[in-house]
Amino acid sequence: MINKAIKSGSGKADPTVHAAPESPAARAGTQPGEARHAIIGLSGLRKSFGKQNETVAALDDVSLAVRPGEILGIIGRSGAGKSTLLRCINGLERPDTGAVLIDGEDVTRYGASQLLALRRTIGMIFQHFNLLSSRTVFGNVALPLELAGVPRARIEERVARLLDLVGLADKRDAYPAKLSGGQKQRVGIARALATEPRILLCDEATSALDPETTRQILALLADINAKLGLTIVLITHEMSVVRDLCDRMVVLERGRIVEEGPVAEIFAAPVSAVTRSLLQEVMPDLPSALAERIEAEPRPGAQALVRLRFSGEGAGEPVIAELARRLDVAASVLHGTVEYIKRTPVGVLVIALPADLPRPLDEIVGFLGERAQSAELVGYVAPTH
Amino acid sequence: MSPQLIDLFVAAAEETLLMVAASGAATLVLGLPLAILLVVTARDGLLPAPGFNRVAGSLVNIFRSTPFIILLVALIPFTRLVVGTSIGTVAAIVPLSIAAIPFYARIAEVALREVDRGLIEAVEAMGGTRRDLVVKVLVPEALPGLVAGFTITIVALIGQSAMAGVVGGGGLGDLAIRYGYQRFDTTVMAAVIVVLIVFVSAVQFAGDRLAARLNKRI
Repeated sequence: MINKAIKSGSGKADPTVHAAPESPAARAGTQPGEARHAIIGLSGLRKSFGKQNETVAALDDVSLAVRPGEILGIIGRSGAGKSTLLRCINGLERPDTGAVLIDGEDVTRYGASQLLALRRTIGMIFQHFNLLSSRTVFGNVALPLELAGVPRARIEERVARLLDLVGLADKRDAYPAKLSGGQKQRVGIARALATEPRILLCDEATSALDPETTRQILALLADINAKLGLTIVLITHEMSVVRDLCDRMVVLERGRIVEEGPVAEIFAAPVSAVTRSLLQEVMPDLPSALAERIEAEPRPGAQALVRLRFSGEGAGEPVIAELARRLDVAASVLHGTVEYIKRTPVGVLVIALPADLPRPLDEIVGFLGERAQSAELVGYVAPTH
Repeated sequence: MSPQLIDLFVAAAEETLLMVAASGAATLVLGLPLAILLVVTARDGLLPAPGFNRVAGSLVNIFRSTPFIILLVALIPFTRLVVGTSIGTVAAIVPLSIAAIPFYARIAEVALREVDRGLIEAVEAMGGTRRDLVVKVLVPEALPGLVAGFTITIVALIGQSAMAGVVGGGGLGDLAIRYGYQRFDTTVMAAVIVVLIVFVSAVQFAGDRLAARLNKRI
């Protein structure tokens, strides 16, 4: 795909032009001082695996602040370092350098017993649920309480309440093998919440589930977040999970943060190539049938393709009509998607401009850029006949 | 069979049962912890100790590769040290145990290794200690395999107890050799074989049933 971004008109900055993928866009990223209000603060985390000569950096200078009560999504392809990052938070992995602050305390310096105590305040759920097959649903949810030395009577009462919360009260005495994937993850969630943690870590929690079950589990997590004020950090490779659940997102690539900010903003104006490519899954910005036909230079009679991104109120503006009325350009819509992220509409529109333009192309793209979040020239398509 | 021979037969059966039960108990008490040690101290284990692991593994291999009939004789001084005598049913229990402990340890080790690492990680993440991981995860999750392995060990012990006659241990095997083979008493030989088949079948049946009942994975 050709990514020849044309700087849109005055005023509005176009992040597609300015931000280089090397520098994490600090849009709404970690500000100095913000770490003080953060429930989780990661600073300068590095971690590599392997023998002396052949090390692979899983984390390469990662700094991040998670606010209390928010749902933060960490997205990246497999091998991007998501898993390692998540495991640094509860001390399952120890970074080579850097600090992991939980409530302002550096837990990388914790000894064994402090780590055990810390882990009892952080719940975790997993892609493959990781339920003990030898224990019933009750036994699985009761386990963290047993480990914490909670008296039997209180365990009974607490597990009953948790199973109510996740809607599995009737499966109390069933073994995990008899449950569906969604039910297993509900048990996993109940188990993770047993010790009343303030942080919940989700490791690809819906990746093994079908779309409908995924939707239900995400709804349950959103519900728990709202009801209990739980801070949730999740890692995923699915943009749809981030779209449906998260407040903010972080894009990880080769152990580095390449993009960070509120989900709606990043969906509206993705900066890095990784983010753009991950976004294709939920919000294709160019259908593949069209992408194949795009050329970098115009041939005679070729139409220019412009991609517009919208978010918030901008999504409601009559851009195409304005273009026709004010500049006398009759554009045709080739492709469009609108997604609602926490009630904010975010959209992509690809339009084709006629070959004989009354004004210079730059001016038209600039005009569009003022009205949309961004406008960029994608390339040209020659007429098919 | 004469009433006299029947008495001998019953006594021999009791000796076999005693030898198998006692060495079986010793195997469970010592073999399972040995298996846990082998798994836990492995390079990717909960408490890696490669040096210890190598030594323990080598010892297990040495005892596993020594033929039982040789172990039986070679261990005589050790047996005398432990039970005060090197002759008799009780004395036979010592070499039987020494042979069965490493045998079971290897089988149990395999069962323990099969436990999904994700379960270990999940319980680590909830603040479980290493002891919790062994007691609440490794052993309960591997239990069906541990039971099946113990069944195999008991059957092997029944077979090996037939050699106990070498140190005067008695038992059904000894009876079969002395009466059935050396005195050409085919009836005794056949009776011993039938009883051993019954023993082995009963152990295998009970073991299979228990393992299946403990297996909640299906």
